[in-house]
Amino acid sequence: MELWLFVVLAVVVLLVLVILSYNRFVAQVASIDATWANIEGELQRRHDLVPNLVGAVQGYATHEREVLDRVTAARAQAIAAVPSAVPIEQQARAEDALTQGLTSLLAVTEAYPQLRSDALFRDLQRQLVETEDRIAAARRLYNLEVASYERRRRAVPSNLVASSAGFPPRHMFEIRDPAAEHAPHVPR
Amino acid sequence: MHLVAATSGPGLLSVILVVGVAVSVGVVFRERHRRQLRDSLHRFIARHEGWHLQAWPCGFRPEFLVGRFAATPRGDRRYGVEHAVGGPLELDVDGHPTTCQVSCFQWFHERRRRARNNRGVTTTSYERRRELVVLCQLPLHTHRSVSIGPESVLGRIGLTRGGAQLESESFNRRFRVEGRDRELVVRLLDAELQELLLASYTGRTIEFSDDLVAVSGAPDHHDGSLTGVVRTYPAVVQDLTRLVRGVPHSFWRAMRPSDGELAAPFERESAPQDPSDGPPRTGPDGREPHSPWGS
Repeated sequence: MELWLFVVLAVVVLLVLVILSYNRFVAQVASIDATWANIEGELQRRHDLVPNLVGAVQGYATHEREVLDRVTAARAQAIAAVPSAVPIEQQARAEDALTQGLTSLLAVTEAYPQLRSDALFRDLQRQLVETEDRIAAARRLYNLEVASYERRRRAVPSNLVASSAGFPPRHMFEIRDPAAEHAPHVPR
Repeated sequence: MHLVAATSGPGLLSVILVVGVAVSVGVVFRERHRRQLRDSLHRFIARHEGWHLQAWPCGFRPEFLVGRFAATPRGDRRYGVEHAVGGPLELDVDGHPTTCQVSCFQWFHERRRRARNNRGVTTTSYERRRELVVLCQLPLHTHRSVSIGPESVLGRIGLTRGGAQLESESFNRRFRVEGRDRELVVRLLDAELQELLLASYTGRTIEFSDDLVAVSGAPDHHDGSLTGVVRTYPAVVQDLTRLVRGVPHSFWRAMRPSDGELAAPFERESAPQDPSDGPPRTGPDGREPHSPWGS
C-alpha cells in the first residue's frame, strides 16, 4: 500500500515538473516571438527612412548616382527578405548589405558640407541612428532569449520535454552593428 | 556598611581617578580623530576647484535620498549623511566634457537589535551602519532606473538568477542587474562596460535613477595621505569618472532629448555648504527642478 502511494506521488511530481518545463518553453517561445516582432518593427522603420535619406542626399549630391542606386537596391533586397518564410541568416545578410550601403551613403555626404548642415538631413540621420540603436538593443534581447531557450532545449532533462513537444531550434540574429557605423564619431 | 567602607576613602578616589583618566583619554582621542578627519576633508576639497563641505549631497535632502538607492536605506531609527563633500566635476558624458555635480559622503542608518538574556528580559539596542556613496547628477532626465549590484551567493554558484541576464556568464555570476526597461539595460551594459565592471567594480553597487548615478561600496584602494573615510574619496571619484566615461554612446542617445545634441556644459550653482547657509535649493518634492536638457 505504501509503495503504491510512493509511486503515485512520484508520478504526480514528475508530471508537475513536465508541465512546468513545458509551460516555461511556451513562455520562452512567446518572448522570442515578441522580441523578434520588435526587431521587425524597427527594421521596417529603417527601411522607411531610407527613401527620405536618399531623397535628401539626391538634392545635393546629384553625381553620386551609383551610391544612391546601391542603397535603393539594398533596401529592396532587405524588404524582400522580411517575410517569415525567408531564413533568418538571409535576412541578416540583406540587412548587412543595407547597412553597408548606408555607410557608403553617409561617407559620401562628408564631401557636401551644405548637405551636412541641412536640418532635414541632420534630422534624418539622427532618426536613422536612433532606429539603429533600437535595432541593436532589440537584437541583443532577442539573442539573449534565443540563447536561454537553446540552452534549455539542449540540457537534460528539459531536452526530453522539448523533443517530445516538438519545440524547434531558433537561430540567433547576427548582424553588423549599424548604429556604431552611422553615429557621429565621438571618442570613448 | 562594609560596602560603604570598601568604596570610601583611597579606594573610591582610585576608582574615580582611573575612570577620569580613561574618559579624558577617550575624549582626547576622539577630538584628535575628528580634527584629523576635518583636516583630511579640507585637504581633499582643496584638490578640486569649487568643492566644499556639504550638508546635503548634490543639494538633496536625506529625506529625498532615503530608500532611493540600495546604499541609502531607511534603517529602523535614524539615518542621514556624514562627511559630505562635493562640487562640480568634469565628466566625459557621451564623448563631451560635461560639468556635473558630484558628492562623496557616508550614509548612515541604524538597525535595531534585540537580545534576550537568561532571565527572559528583552533589551533593544541600535547598531549604526555606514555605507560609502558617491552621487552624481547628470545633465539628463529620464524616469527609468537601472541597478547593478553584487549577485547573491546562490546566484554566484548558479542556483538562482535574479534580474536581467546578459551574454557574459562571468558577469551574470558576479552582478545582479535590475531594471524594468530591458532595452535600456542592454544599451547600458555593452561588452566594454561589462568588462570594465568585472575588472574594477566587483562587489560595488551602481545605480542609475532618473538623472542621478550612485556608486556605493568600498573601493579596493585608498589615499594613504588622508584619514578615515576620506581616504576612499579620491578613489570613488576616480571610479565614477571611469564609469561615466565607459557608458556606451547608445545609452546616452537613449537618454537624450529629441533635439539630438548635448546641452552646453552643465552649469549649476553649488549646493549649500552647511545648514547655516540656508535651506537647500529643492523643489516641493525635495529635489531640484533644474535640468540643462529639460528646456
